[in-house]
Amino acid sequence: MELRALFPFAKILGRRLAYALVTIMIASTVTFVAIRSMPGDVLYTLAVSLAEELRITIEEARKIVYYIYYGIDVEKPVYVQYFEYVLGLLRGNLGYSTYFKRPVTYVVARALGWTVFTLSIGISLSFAIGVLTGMVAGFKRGSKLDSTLSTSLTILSAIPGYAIALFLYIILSARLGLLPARGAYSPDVEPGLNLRFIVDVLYHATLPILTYVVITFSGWSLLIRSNVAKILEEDFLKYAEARGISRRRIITTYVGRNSILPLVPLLALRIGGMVGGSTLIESIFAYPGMGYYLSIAMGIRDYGLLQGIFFMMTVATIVGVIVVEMVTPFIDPRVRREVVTT
Amino acid sequence: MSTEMRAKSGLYLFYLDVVRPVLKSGRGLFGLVVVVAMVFMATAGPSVIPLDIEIKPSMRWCLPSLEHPLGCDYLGRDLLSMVVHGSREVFLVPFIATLVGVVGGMSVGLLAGYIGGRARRALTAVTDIWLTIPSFPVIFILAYVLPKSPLTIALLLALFSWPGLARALAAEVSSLKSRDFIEVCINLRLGKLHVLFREIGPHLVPFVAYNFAALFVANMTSLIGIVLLGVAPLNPTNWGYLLNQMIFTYRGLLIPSGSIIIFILVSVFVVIKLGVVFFAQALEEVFNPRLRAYE
Repeated sequence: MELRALFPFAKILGRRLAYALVTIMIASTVTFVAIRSMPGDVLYTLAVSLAEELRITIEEARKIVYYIYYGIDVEKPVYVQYFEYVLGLLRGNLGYSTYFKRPVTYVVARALGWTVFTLSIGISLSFAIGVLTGMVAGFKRGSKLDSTLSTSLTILSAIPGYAIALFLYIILSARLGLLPARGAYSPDVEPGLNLRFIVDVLYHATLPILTYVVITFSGWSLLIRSNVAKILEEDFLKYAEARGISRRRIITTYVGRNSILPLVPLLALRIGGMVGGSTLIESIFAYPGMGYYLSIAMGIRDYGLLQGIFFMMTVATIVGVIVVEMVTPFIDPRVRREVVTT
Repeated sequence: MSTEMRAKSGLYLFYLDVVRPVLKSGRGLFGLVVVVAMVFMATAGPSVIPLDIEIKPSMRWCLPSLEHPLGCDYLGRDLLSMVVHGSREVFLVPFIATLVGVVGGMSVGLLAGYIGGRARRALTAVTDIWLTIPSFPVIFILAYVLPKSPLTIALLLALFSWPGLARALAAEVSSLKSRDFIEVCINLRLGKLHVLFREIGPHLVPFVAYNFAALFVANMTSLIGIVLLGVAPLNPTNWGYLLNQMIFTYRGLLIPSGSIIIFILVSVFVVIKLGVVFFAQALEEVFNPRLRAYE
């Protein structure tokens, strides 16, 4: 590839990285404020137990608690504390989990993979199914099939995600016992690159993935439907038909591509919501991803884990957005041109 | 034309422009009924239907009957009375959040779209960055740490309600700005404020109205989700709190009758969400006659 052809990608990447830095600053400010303003009794309890253990005064123990758990030195001015805290985060010091008695990085390292695995498959599948059903409804617009499809999709998209998760859980897991809803794999399976483990992991991931798909595909479908309906009115389509271009090509290239492309930036914007939404889904299915640990941290007031996981969720979202944005100029020539000209 | 006739024709026009488009479609009528019911529930509802606080163990999870139209909850209390008494908070908190969010989104969006240039790029960057923050965990964490009051929750929800609208409005305004009639206005020296509010503004009303409804239901879902996870215990009749108790404390999903009651409560919520969205779609037709002409 020519060097000049790479220019748009470099430009988008540069802008996105600058955005990412600002986003990380905002996220770390939120967690810093959260730590500083968290109810005193939590840290006090920690300090008391530490003071007893090490036989020191509670005041000293409190300083140690802040320093060890969050890398914050309470004796320095607030802005220095903030600066050191952010530097610590960027170096990978995500804090200390009081419940697991380990650094948060340990928990995150185990949880991140499961969330990325289920979410990425879930998002891709729901996008694909949404595009397919939306295209069908859009091409047959005004027909009976279209009205049944769009009405049921509208109703489906109005059901809150957690309700869908709960009902799928009752029907598929609790009542019929078809799918497991606890953990990422069975305890008796040896983790590793063997067939039994892979099958077991997929089996356990089916329910969360299915939930993501059911929750989100209706939204994509309705958007594609209205895009298709709009494009079918366009003059260039009549011209293409008049030129005798095959129906197949009209459907895939002329209508398909034009109706899907505007949704790709939207996909990037929805990732944040999906990552956040995984909190409810994973805690309902006890699936050991980041959202699950976030809800555990909530329940037991483990503030160290809370802020560490939240920070990692933000980073994961940013990475997801960057990936989608980097793909856009590959599939949309207009974006390539736009980036070059502006 | 006499005054009487003018009033009559005014009423008739109101019927043609507002009432008929709403009533004509089944969806619009459904939406109107739901919205009226919501207003009634949140205003007069609690004084019409008394709060049932009596615990009746024999009535736990009782199924719908004439006496209890929605059945009973995990303590044998009338579910309808709980739903009605919780509705004020469930409707009002998202409403305030949406109001603040829409005003914020409109200010940023109009400004970004109308000014253009460097200011637009800066505002777009802020909006884009804001959109990448996973909102649910932030609301979650801050709802946990900040003082627990309905207003705090409403403002937290508002914090993440504005960027989507701002982004869409900026695009809309800048595309309107390049239309001929706006060029004419600018050449006539009609003044920036006049162009923005009298010429561009009316074109945005249906869009903003629809977004208001969509945001309102999204915020309602978030509110119930936050309360469902037990982060922000507001009113004990909050639907999220009811669901939380039904699902996690009383394990209603493991009992057939409990599952039915939970299903009923969720259905009430879904009907309200759908009603608000359909009502907004019908209103879109009211504001935008072109949509009517298509049928």
